[in-house]
Amino acid sequence: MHGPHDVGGRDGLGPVIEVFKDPDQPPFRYAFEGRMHALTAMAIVGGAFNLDEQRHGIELMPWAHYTDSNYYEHWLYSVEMLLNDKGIITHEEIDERVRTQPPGSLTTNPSKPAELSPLAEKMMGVLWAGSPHNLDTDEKARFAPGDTVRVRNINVASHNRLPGYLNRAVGVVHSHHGAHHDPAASAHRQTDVPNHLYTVRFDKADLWGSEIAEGQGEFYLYADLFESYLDAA
Amino acid sequence: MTTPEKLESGKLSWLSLDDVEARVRALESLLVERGLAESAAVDAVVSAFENDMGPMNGAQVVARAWTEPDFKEWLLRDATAAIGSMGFTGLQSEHLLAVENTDDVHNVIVCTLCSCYPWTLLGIPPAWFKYPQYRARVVKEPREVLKEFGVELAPHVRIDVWDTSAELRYLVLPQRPSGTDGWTAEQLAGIVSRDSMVGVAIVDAPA
Repeated sequence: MHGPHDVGGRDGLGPVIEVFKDPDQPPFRYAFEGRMHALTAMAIVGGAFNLDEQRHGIELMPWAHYTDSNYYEHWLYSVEMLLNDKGIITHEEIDERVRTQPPGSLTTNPSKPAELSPLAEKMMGVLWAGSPHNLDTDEKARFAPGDTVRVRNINVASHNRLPGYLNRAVGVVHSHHGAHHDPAASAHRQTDVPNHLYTVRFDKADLWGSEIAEGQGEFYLYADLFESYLDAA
Repeated sequence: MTTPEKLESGKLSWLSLDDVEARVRALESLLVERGLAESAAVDAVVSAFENDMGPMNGAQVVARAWTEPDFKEWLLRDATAAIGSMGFTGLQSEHLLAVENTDDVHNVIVCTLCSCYPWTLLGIPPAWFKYPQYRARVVKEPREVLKEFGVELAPHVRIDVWDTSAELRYLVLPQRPSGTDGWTAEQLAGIVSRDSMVGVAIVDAPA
């Protein structure tokens, strides 16, 4: 869906925020950011929801809220909604806990515990092993490097990984990466469905028109797109 | 429009930073009660993100590619295997690609839809990578955005912008600066910046 997250090519968001460019900015700028990140990873590993559901939850944020909020507030929004909708923790329980919890603040830069619990060990394993997204399939790839393709005109308000600025654009397949699990199936049906994945190269003038393209010198735009987003052209 | 003043003031029209912190604390205690989290395990994960994952890992990969032609060839052909051999694959770094800067091509990475980034290789993405401003603009006016980061490219240099819209994660292999002949990989790793591996900086020659 082309929700508030789908910002590629949008005007009016302003310049890159200057303070963010400081190379000495810490990975987590507030203590809650690191905890939100870790809690989300833990809930995913624990099976409460999956990564694609979490991304889709962010896409469902109201536009102004998305644009004018801390990045990890996006994660909080999505995780709260998913836990509520799946009957694990309701919004009201969180409201109630906020009212009744003792005052306190979160620790910045926590140190690693001397002894790791089984859950902590499991999380370390997940961090350093990852969870590959490729899937075997008997389906033959429809496209090969060098093929010209046209992006389908997709405007469904459900989860996919198609940036809106690529709708209907014509590009050339740069590379094929085998099949990866389809994010739409994962977000909406919690199933693993293989979908061939390609990197497609687009021309600046086709995307933005000649006026913009001329001012930017030579550039190509590459995007990683699933086969179901593409037609032969 | 989001401004640093608004973001830092905690006075956005939505939640204040204090409110976000309180909700995250509440969420953590409830997840602990449901058996989905442990606070010490959260500490361990945050600590790993802050201390063990980061651009120092990517810098080692770059320095090795600068000093070992066979490794560089492997990195550009199969980054997942080459980087995996150094132990830096992991969560959000399962499928890796390396793109090489040359005299004629400069690469820059963005995730317009969210903030996809190779965590184990480069760490948690910097704020500019995660907030909408960079994501909106770099796919449309990359030369302007790079200028704002202090990178002025010669007119003949083509920019390749990679929108990482699926689960492939990218590493830019910057150009090795002149004046570093005879440097060890360890010395070289010390001058490779995070931003150069995302494509918004070049690695400067030593003073």
